[in-house]
Amino acid sequence: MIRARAETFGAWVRVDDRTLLAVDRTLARRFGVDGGARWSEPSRGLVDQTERPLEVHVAVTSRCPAGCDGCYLDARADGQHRPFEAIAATLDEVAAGGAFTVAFGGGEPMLHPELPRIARQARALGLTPVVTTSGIGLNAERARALSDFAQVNVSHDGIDAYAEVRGFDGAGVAERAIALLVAEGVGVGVNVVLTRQLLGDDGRGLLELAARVRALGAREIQLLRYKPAGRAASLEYLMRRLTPAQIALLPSLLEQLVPGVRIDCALVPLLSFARVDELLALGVMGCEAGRGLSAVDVEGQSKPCSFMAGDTRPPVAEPCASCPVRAVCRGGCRVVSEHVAGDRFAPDPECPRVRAS
Amino acid sequence: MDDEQPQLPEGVLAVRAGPGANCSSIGSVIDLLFGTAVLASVVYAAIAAALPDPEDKK
Ligand code: SF4
Ligand code: SF4
Repeated sequence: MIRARAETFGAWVRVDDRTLLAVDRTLARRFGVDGGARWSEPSRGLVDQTERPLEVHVAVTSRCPAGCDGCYLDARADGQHRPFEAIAATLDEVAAGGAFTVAFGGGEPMLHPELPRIARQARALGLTPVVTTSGIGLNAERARALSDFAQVNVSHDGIDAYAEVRGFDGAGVAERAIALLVAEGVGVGVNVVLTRQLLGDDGRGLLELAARVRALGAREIQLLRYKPAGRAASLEYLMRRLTPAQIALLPSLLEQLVPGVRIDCALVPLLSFARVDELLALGVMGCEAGRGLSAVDVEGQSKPCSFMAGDTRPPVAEPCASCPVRAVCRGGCRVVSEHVAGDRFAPDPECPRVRAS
Repeated sequence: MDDEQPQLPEGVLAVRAGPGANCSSIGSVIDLLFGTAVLASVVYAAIAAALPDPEDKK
């Protein structure tokens, strides 16, 4: 079922779970969109037109027994599940706001007893549901019940690096979960947090991890920047973040990993080779906190991004002010700026352009 | 990493591919940064499959 949302430039149109298009007014009309009042305004263009989220992240629980050192939420073994009715009310709001995708997280969402019902509710509202898990609590029966999710993303931070980085050796749990989900016909992605320990001197740890999870049947790998939030907002962060030499390796590693690779918003400033026109055409999103992205925490509070509450405006200082990819990057990750530079409105201090300035 | 501007079908301003949103930060497929030639065919196929029949478009 096509889902569309009128914008001054035309519309966002989701033609299937895998394809979200921004189209001009002419093409939008062919998709049956009536722009109404929005089309009587001049087009504000794609870049200035994300005042409503395309994607909303919804926490369903703060419970998780893993106790990872770097948990951005500070999830605990005695954390609480958010009741189905409260989540359903959030989904009503998300759908009414015109978002397309809802990504469920926690805590460990697999521990929520009503996760399959939550996915069905999202589908009934026309949303595309996805969920992220460590794999804890998954068995064949539960895997089978997850068929309403467009994709289940399993976190795996490295064959050897996982235990070193997280203080919890979840690699085996993750690999078992990938195999279980694939066996039940559920689409599987793998989330990989990029750390100094995973990449090592030559990035081989990442390439080996990608080969292993693909052999298990994962169809997509999402690379995530390590972020200093929750329990990870500590001195350890400096020991786990990528070094400048590792950041310089990223383009060649990405080239070896495609196809089937996603990067997260916080990695955009580290892609120094990419041109802004390419990034825009491919719908790449940098810091969209409070714009194309919003989050709802386990208390039901709305935030601009899962990692951060409050003001997430982009920096106005150089080199971001005149940066050629500013329209997409939007100054890098506010979470990193706040932790490392002590100022969330500062240019991302780990961006190669910022470091060189 | 192509010198050419990505060629999108007429009327398409941007394409975001893949369902695999993460629960904590917004992600984007970047495969096509490394081979924009295949972009148009991927998007054409998706649009062609989604548009109504020509008779219905009038
Ligand atoms: S200089 Fe600023 S806007 Fe440009 S890539 Fe770096 S963080 Fe992003
Ligand atoms: S602050 Fe911005 S870049 Fe960082 S995780 Fe949130 S949305 Fe992404």
